[in-house]
Amino acid sequence: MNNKSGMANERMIAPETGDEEGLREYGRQLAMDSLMVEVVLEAKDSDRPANIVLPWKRRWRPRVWISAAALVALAGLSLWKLGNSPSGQAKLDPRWKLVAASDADYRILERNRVELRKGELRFTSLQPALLVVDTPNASSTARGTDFLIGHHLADSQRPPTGQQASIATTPTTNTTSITRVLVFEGNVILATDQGSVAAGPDEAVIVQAGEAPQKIVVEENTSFAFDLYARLAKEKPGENLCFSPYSISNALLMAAEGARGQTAREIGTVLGFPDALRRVSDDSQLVPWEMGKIRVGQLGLKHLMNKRGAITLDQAKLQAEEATLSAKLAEMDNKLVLFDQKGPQQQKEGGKRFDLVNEKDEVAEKLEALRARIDTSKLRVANAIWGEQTFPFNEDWKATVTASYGAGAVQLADFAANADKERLRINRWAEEQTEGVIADAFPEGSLNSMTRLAIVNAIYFKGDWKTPFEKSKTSPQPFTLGTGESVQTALMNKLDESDVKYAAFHGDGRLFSTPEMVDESELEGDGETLYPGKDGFSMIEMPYRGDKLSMVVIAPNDPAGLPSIETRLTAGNLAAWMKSMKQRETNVFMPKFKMQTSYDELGEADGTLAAMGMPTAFGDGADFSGMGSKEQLSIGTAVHKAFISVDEEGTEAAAITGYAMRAEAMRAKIPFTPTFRADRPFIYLIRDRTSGTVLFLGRVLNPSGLAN
Amino acid sequence: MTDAFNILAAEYRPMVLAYVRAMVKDAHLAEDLTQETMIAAHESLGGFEPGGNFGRWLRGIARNKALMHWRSEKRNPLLIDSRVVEGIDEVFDGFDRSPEESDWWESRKLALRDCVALLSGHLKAAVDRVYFGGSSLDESALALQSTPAAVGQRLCRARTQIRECMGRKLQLSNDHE
Repeated sequence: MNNKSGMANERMIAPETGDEEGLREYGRQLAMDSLMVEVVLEAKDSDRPANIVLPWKRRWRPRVWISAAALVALAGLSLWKLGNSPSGQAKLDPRWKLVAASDADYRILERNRVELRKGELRFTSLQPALLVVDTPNASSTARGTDFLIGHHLADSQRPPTGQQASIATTPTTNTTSITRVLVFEGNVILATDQGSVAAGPDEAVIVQAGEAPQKIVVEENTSFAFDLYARLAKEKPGENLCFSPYSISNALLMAAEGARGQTAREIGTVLGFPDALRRVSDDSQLVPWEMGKIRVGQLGLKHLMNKRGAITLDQAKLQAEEATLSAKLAEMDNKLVLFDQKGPQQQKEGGKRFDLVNEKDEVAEKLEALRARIDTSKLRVANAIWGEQTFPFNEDWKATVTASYGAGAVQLADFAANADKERLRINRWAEEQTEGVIADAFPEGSLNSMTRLAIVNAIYFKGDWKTPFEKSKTSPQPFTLGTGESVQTALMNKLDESDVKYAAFHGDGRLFSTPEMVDESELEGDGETLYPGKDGFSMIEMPYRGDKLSMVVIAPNDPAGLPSIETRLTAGNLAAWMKSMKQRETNVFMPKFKMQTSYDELGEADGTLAAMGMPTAFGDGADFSGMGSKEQLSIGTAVHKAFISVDEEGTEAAAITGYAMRAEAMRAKIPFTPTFRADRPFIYLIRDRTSGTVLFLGRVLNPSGLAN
Repeated sequence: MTDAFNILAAEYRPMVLAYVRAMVKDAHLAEDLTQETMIAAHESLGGFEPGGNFGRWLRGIARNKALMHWRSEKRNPLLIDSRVVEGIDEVFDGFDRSPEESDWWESRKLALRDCVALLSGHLKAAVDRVYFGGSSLDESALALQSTPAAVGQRLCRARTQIRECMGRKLQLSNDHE
């Protein structure tokens, strides 16, 4: 018998006391723990699967290893702390809440004036109040807003001459300073001697020393997502897909910071950097992109992503309201119990009891509506870099990735002598970031004594549907494959769902005009007035609780029609289709599914990314001299692993799709509720609704073996 | 009546013990409270409605015993949280005996063992170490070259998968009956 069988505490992760579903899940875990102990009393099962060792190719050259892991959960800003005024300083106006990064160097000059010398500060105004934040580059004025301000040293991107000068290990005269502001809510005005700019929600502004402020749009470029999808769809015909374009591009960007010449040009082109960000100067051949602007946009995005997990004032209010209503409901429950215990006397007070029950129902209804608005989703994006301890990395590059990608300091690793030990250390980090979902980011043998650097991005998401599917309605239903065959799958459904956006399109991508009202006879016909033709398709968008993230599902009318949609799947088309979507009652059918994918061939010399247009980074001509020049570096392998689980309650990491026909009704002119069925191959994506960032993207061609 | 009760009590006792252990997280205390539960059930057998769910009735008594215990101890408020109890009940209700089913508790354990065998490599390794090997999280983390927190997360994920797998198995066997 397991001598620790009585110590379930150790095997459990206790939830927060206010986390209602977390507490229920804790109960389920306790129950399963106890049942497992019961079985342990009798059985011993020690068979283990053999370790899977992949045949990794060994190369003689030093390599840059890039990995991206994609997963589910919430971002905690662990590097941040509440900004109590350092002793001897003025006290900040209590109407402002200040959170400071651990390395921030700042002073509170007056109750409404702060000086920031280095690092990042996040200010949230609890009530309208004025605040001025001075940095060496600019003065920022805010009133009643929520914003992030940072001031950092950065490379000037203007090396005097030649490559060697650009990779000096000690920054001196080529260093400039950048102030950047990212606005979450309200407006912030940045002013310098050269001019001023006002930034609104989800906008970022940068100010370089001695220059006018410049606005940067915080917007994810989704073209990379769909280019990669197209490539993978071609490389893996007939396979289900799941990957995180955001995660892959994030890891690539960190490498791009150290790329030079042709290598940098290709990476930028593949990642879809706009032409407007091409540099025009003497050294633009060496440093082809305005990385300063690109990284500000990316940093803004990362903060927006991680902000999705932070509690906003509105959410805090909702949670407080929920706690009040929950307490009220519990009190009413108690009153009813006491009432019922009174026995015969209760008969005389039947009217009172009736009122109490009614009142309780009203409170319960309010509580349910309130809970749908509370954001329970978890989203965490984390970057980390491990560098070989004996390799002299360029200090500029280290400073840039540390400050701009939230990668923390570049951690020293002993790849030369202990590559496998380091591999396990990195895998542990990835596993923790992904809440245990991705355990073996780097497979055995994938790091070796020639490895100089490992760049890892991890993303974890878990969200509850704003309106969940009812478990009791899920049942085995046929899923028609592209070939016309059908397989059984657990199909969830929500009828007359109003928290859904819907649109249908003709085969050429034009919007189909879905009727609002129809004649009864139309419902009995072949549906041609209700849905587009066989070559058409439909889309739904279902929000997660909190409304910040959503899943978009695209399904063809004809089960064989997915390839035709795939050819039209571009960032521009998606944006146009999304604009056409309307919130309306929709019947939604979609399968539960779970899949784990591994794309280990992304970064091979003849792999996916090379084929997309960046072969140089993987070959002999690779130039990552911005990272360091002691040895020539190239990307040895890029590993990407992703996981998704979709069920009635929500999604852990990725998505769903569908379309269909048929509706019921009996009257002459009746409202029409379109039906969206994902009981055929479909595309899914999980996106940030503000920036449009595609966090996860994939397709389900055949749900067999994906049972959730 | 007593003989019939004894037969039933013997059949349901392991389930009640597992249920109470989930609530109190202490093997010895669970034994004591299970004993008290069975005595209380015997004494109030008249309160059980024929045709009702005997397992659920027993768990109701066991639940009260556990809650009374925690109230008297005035500690561990999390365990008496109604939502935690709801979660525990949800699992045990899901694994209840179906009418006419014999050896039902044995079949639950068999299903659990089958589902453990179906776990993916790293989850199964954690379960094997901690549950079947009797190792602590620290020891397991060392052996699995992981961290205690990561092993804890694997266990959590494994338990969820086992529960879902058992649910599917039981649904399947019910459909066949």
